[in-house]
Amino acid sequence: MTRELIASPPVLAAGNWVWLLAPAEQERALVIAPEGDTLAQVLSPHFGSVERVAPGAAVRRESADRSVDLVAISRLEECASNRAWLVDSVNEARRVLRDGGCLLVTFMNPRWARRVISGWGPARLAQSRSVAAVLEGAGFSAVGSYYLQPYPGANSIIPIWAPAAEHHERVQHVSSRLGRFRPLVARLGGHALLYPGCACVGFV
Amino acid sequence: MNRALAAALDDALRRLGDSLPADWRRIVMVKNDGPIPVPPHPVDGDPARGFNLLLLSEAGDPAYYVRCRDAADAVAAREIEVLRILADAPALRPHLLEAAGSRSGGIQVLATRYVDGPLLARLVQGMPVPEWQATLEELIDLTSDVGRVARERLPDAGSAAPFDFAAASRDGLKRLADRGLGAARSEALARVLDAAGTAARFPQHGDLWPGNVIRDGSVWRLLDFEHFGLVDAPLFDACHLTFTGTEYLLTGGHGLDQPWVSQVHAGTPVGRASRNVLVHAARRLGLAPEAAAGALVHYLVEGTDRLMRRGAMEEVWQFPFREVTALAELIERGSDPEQVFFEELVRD
Repeated sequence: MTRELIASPPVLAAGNWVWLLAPAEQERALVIAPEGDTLAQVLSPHFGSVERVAPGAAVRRESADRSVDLVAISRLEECASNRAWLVDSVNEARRVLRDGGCLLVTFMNPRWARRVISGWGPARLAQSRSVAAVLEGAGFSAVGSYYLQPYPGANSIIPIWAPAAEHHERVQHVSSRLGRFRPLVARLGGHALLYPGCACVGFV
Repeated sequence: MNRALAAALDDALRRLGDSLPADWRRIVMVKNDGPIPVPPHPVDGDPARGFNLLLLSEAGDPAYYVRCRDAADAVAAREIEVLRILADAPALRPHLLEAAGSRSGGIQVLATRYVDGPLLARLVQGMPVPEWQATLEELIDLTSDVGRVARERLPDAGSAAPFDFAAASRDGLKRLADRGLGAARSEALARVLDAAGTAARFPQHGDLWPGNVIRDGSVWRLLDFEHFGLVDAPLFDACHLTFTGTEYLLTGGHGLDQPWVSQVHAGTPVGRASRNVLVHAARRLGLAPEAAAGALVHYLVEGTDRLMRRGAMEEVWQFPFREVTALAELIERGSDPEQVFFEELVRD
């Protein structure tokens, strides 16, 4: 299991995420991401211009109000380890987004079983509920929380809801010998254990 | 949601007597194979294959499975048309999924009502061999009925020219020879194909494996008509269902320990049942033994070559490749595929 598989861009690489989010316009996107992140590259076919900024410079005071169609914070856990940074960045995203624009925040799922078992990854990780609360607090509407399943052949985007996870697993037919138990794990409320990535979205 | 997607989805669901869910939690993206419509500056040359959605009811039960494809995707457009035409035949309707297609802007969708039954892939695991054989024969009868309707009603249901097994397999066989099958084995298979001559074309499902058959109450329903009729080599579906059915029966789809061809040759219980199923299918089509043997070789060559051409991982194509090799080695050792697989036809 590589770190690249955990990160969200493989899912987003298929492009349909942006397409389903469907910002009203697709002229300008701003990606806040650590060095080496590929999300800006992935988004480039979909927007007139895509700019990546380092997390340290995330709060782009020089961006004009309502000048951006999509703000994406990629690999939140590598951008910052404190909530204040997220609150500040989300508020700033709200300021620069046009009407109809959207914010996407992706991060590692802190409850993913393989991470928990191996003790892998940063110790402090964001919970989807707390990220969603920050988006709602900044005035974003229709805030949604999702799991990202980045394995090749799936690239699934699953609402954080037990029935969604259960039926995703039933349809996806993971063929490993333990795969047959995944729908049951989801049904019993353990869906957070199954997926490496999370994302929250909100609209202006 | 993108307006074109929403409009296409809503139209398709209305044709099925429903409407688009307003709650985003009810939409699961289950397969995500590339952006549609294709963005203005694609990053690489990969074809955009779109995505599939699972729509849930308010209670969280699966309601629809939706394929979303680029409006220019001719295969997807054809599948919508094929299902519409086949569903017009009352006898077939119980065996197809209720489906409706629509398009808007740069996207087309095919929404099918979800059937919450077990797949044959699951049912078949550990099934008693006589029941397994009867199930496969029942499915072969069903797909024959579907093929017959397709031949009458589909506008592109195949050429009137007979199917030439050797000509259709030539390029694939050459590629397999280059990928490790070797010249001698390739020639052994070519001899069977040459002897097969030609046979009448018959529309095939094209991907009839246990994951594409679902049990709905007392009937079987067939899934995935994306490639329906694009393959018209006789016996192709029967060979594919029997080979993959053996794999699911014995290992749950995790690859056979002993090649299927070798099991048929050795006369294991599953091998004998496989032979019975293939003979049953060949009789339905009125195939002569040499044509049936050619059809089997064509299936193994074409099925393996197709996987390789699509860039499938070795762990996927290694099993059919092993079957091709096993059959070629049997022939090299003096066995006759007509006798090994279709002895009863020879006696006919």
